[in-house]
Amino acid sequence: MTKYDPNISIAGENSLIIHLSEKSDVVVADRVQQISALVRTYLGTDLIDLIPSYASILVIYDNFKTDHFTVSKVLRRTILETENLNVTNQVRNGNLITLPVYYSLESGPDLSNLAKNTNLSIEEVMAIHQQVEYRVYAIGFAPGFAYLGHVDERIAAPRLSTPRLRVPRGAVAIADQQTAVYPNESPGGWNLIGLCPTLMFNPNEIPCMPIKTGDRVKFKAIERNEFIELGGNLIAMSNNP
Amino acid sequence: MKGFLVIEPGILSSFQDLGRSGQHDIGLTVGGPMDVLSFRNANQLCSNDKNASLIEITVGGLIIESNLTTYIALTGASFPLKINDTFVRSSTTHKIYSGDRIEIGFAENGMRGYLAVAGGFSLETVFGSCSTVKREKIGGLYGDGQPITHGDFLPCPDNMVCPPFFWETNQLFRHSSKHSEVTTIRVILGYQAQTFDSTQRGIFFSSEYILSDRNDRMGARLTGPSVKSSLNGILSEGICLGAIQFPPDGMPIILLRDRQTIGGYPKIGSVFSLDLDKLSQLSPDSKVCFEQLSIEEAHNLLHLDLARSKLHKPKVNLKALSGEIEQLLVDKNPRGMRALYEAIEPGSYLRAAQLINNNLGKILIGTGFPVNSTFETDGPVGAIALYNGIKKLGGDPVIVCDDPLLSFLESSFNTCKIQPNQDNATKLLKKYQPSLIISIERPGKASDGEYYNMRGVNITPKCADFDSIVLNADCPTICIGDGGNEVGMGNLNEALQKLNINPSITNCDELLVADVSNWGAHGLLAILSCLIDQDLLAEWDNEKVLAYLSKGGSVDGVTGKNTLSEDGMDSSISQNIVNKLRKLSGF
Repeated sequence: MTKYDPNISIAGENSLIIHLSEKSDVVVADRVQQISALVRTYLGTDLIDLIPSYASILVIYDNFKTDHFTVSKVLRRTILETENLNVTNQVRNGNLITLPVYYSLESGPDLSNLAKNTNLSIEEVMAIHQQVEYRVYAIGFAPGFAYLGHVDERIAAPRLSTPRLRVPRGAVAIADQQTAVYPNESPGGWNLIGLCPTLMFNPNEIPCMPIKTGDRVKFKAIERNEFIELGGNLIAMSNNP
Repeated sequence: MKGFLVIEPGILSSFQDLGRSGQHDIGLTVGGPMDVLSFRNANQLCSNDKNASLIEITVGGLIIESNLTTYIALTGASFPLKINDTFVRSSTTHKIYSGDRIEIGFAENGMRGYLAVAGGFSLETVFGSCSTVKREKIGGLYGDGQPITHGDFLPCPDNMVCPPFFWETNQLFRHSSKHSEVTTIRVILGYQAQTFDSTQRGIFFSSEYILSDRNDRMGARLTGPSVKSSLNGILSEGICLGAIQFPPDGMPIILLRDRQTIGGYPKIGSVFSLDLDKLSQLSPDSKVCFEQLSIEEAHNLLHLDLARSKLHKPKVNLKALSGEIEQLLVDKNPRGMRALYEAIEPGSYLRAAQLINNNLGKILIGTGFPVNSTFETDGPVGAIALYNGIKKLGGDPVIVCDDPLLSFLESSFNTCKIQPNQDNATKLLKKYQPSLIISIERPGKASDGEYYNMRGVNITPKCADFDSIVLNADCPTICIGDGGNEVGMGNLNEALQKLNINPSITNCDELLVADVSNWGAHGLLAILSCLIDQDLLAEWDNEKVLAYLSKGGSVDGVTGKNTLSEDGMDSSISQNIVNKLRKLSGF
């Protein structure tokens, strides 16, 4: 791994972002977790919110209590501290969760385009998507939206040029080397390849999600009837071509 | 349960507080008001906690019906607002009674309004907030992210601890969205700004963009010249509020309160939060342009804005406050003063307070109602309160009374003895040249020229004539009474016929009634406090004043006993009234 100089930069009037690497991997992901925990402690009530992702941490602070000069000093110190601790290989042995997916043209409106653009058959795209054991790198975009990596390069399709206004709940999607299950209906720009009947976010349950950052996820193809039996529904997709 | 029934939900009405924080790591967005300034104003108008939940009304059309007495305020875009078919003003506090219908029409200018109720709506929170986020199916009345709908019942606090201040804000909707105008939105450049080359940045900051109709609480989509970044696909990363991202089609999207927390489109920067308020009031097809702002300038502007908002705090609606005080002071109604209050033109306490404030000079305060061979507590307590208040204002008060009260007070106060007849009254007026005369609980002459107490007993031999001083004065006169037989009650001849007493016919410029005359003095001081922005009731200790008078032989006018009470009511009841008055006047 080439040494990457961690970078603290301005994101908004009360937000700074730390970039730890240009690439995402398990080691960087661990470092993200570690720094996030320390920043929470060091900033205390000056912190409004924090968004850890693949290789970055967005820090939102209260600019009526502090300012970007002070916060960037704290962040720089934290980064140095974690370098000195030299903790790198604490890969968390998260749970392995298998999520069922109904891959088809009716449940995955971008499946045929994706196959065409990658010179693969639809069956090959499905199989390649199921081969990998993914890691949960980040949760965000929407409650329970887990970013899983890394998708095999052969099916790593770029985002749509114009995002959809409505993507149905349960949509299984690919964007570059990331894959995810949409936990709720929302707008979105990812390529939709199937539907998952498992509820990815339930605010009334503890925990509210079946997976957490650091867990491992596998996808397993199911048939249409199994999908329906598991509580899936296709109406949302058919309303949204 | 107390609250409001939804007759019509309008286009989109949803509950919002300041939103959720600390939950971004499981993907929960912040939510909360699109126009934070108007949200704050609405809650401030109702004297609410700054995070109290209220209704955000988009476009309009909300109709609700009350089953409680409370206060409401509407801020934000300019909406026609009706209470029971009468148009009323926005940006001020309105009192609402059970059965009242509140109707919010469609915005004439702007997009969003904020309807607050005193104490805030009583809602369960989800992840620490009641903010409705439809996309996340979180928050709102049922916690499921659904906006307000037909037949919903919107619960309010049962017991409002303290009525609101009756603020009135002149900070009306700050932004006009006429189509010909271009709104400038300030942008703090972000870390990916360099990935937009100078040509692309030049295009972005020099072009006009049009707000499309595909806008919601999640994001504002704009159309205009396409702008491209050199990045193709980045690792998904956290996005801050107001971030301006560019999907591959090059059309900017500004991420708003219900934004996604993580995304992978390149961002040129993020919109300054005060301009997000403006943006949220723009209707589709409005034109915007962008201007750069450094993070330091943004920080500075935010702090200046906060400082300014503290300087320009909304004004108290004094007439409404006066009405509240008038109502509060006749609420117990032991001697039928509520009927008299209804016969007086609303705003009497305000008018009287203005008379004092505009006529500060030598002010004569007449008091003292004879009971047996001594004086009662009601009257002198209020006179002392007024005396202290007028001194603080810079006036020169003199307590005018008769023995035995006079000889007790004269060592501590400027006093003057009431003379027995009209000639002497003229002499007294000549000597003092008063700028104002106040009478508090002074017996007043009945139509036969005699004085009577509340039980109809003729007390003329014990009563010196203050009536002549009031009647012959060429300065304004204010009289306070609580029975109908006091100086000044002549103003209410007709209404007094209903009471079973021998009423006084002596009139005055401004008559104030209260359940206990002393309370009338406190009510006056409460409004005066607002007028001069100084709490004149801050140091009032009712029991201490009663204890002082008790040494002089005072008795309770109702029981005839030398106790620390007024008109049969314990000192603590009066102190409570004072405390309530202070809250009402915002201290």
